[in-house]
Amino acid sequence: MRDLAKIIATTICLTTTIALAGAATEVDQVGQKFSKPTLTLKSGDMVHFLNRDDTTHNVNVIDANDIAMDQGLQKPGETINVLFDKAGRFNVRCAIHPRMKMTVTVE
Amino acid sequence: MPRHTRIRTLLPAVAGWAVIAALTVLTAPRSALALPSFAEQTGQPCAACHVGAFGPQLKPYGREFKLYGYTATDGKPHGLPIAATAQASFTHTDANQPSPASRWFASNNNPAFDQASVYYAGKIAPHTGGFIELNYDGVGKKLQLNNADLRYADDATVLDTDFVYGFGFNNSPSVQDIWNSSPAWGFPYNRSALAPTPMAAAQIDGSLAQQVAGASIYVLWDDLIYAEAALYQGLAGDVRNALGQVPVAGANKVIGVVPYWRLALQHQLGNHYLQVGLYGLTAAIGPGGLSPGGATDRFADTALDANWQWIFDSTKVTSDMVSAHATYIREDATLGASSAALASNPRDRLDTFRADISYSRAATWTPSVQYFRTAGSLDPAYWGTPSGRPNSAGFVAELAYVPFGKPDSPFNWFNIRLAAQYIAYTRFDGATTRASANNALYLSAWTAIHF
Repeated sequence: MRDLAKIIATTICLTTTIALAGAATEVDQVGQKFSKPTLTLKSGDMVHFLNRDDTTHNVNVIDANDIAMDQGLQKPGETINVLFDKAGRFNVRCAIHPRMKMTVTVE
Repeated sequence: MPRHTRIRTLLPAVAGWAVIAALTVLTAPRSALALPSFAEQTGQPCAACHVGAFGPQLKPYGREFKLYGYTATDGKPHGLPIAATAQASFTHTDANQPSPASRWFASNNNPAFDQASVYYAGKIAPHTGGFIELNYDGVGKKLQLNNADLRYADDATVLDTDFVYGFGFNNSPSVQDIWNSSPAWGFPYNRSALAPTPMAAAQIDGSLAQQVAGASIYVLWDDLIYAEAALYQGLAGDVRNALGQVPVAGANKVIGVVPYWRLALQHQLGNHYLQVGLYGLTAAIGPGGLSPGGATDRFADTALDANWQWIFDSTKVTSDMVSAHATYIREDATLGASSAALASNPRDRLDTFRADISYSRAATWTPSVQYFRTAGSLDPAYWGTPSGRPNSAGFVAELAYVPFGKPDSPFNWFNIRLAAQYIAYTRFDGATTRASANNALYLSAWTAIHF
């Protein structure tokens, strides 16, 4: 009975933590494109960028004021996690592949 | 006696120099542009940009890199983008040439150090980049400025539509083009400077390379429509002399402004890429540098081209792929100067067609074949051939091997391309008999290094 209570309590805590941390969205970089050209998120949501190509990519998040938050280089198979915790419209670019871009709107 | 010299003796001086100028262009080694400085700057292997892991044949990312002004970067410091290339070769023709193609070579079976080039190639400033090639011609034994392409490029979104725009400066109409159907970058990507080559070529087909300088402006709208306009001016004789474009005396002279234009449609359909386009220019030329009574030869070139690429697995830069290019060039010539000086026809026409296809296996082995054909008006005084026509046709077959330039290669600062090429003529400068005497086997080694 005590174990069941622990499990229920733990489950509630984890669920609450995940809810507070926001949702997570997967975006693949494949064929030198982002798998989702546009994305709408809530503030606090996380995006996992997974490089499925066999060459290096980059994730560069640019806000409406043209301020870039370069997440660095990303080798094949690596994931870069980006937390979108401010409302606004963001352009996400790969500095290596100029035509590789997506738009993220955070509400 | 080399073929071009033999032809020259058949013609009056003015036409002779025109032919030599055309041959100089046709036999000049093409620019390398398989440049490790680009690979270093982007952190990408050669195979990311180039079919067969060696330039100049471009894949989608290579076109994108060029379109954006050679500025894409991995953000790391790489020092000055200096690269070098070198080519060495062996040439065998089916028959001995009447005399050596160059005074330093034999009439057949020539080993040669074809050329060496040093490049500044890469990003110069934000949104600005390019390449400048200083070339040593190992056959003509001369130092010269070869291709140069400097540009500013950026992109923007207007009414939810993306477009890329740019402007730049270059010294060869079509050297700025991103498709390998264009004359500056077409197959074969290197060829022997010691084997005979057909004498006739349209002005847009390389005849103006390094003879002019100009500015262009371009836009790619919605990744679909490409449009470009450029204006060129002929370089003065002393400038060409200083840049190594010799001999200047008696060479053709570009008179006035040369407008160049380009339109293309492109579309990616799954793993298939398609492009169709038009390009052209008009030019006034003083043949042999002369314009008797102010008369010039005026050329209007209009061309169609198409590209098809099929990349089997777009997530792998070493994926097998098929690549095909075709172009048709029509040149209408109004020969005011030549008709006055040589009694040539007042008007001539020259049609050029080329189509090639290659299959790249693991970005390592790349066999290619091409059919080419040039046909023109009957004008013995102008062309100077025994039949009075400039017609040539034939096939090129090539097998290239590139061991490096892939993601698992031990270094990205060095690459090498080994190739065996055979050119077979069914018609050569208007003649079918003995056309095969000009057939040429060309074995080449082409290296590229970043300092």
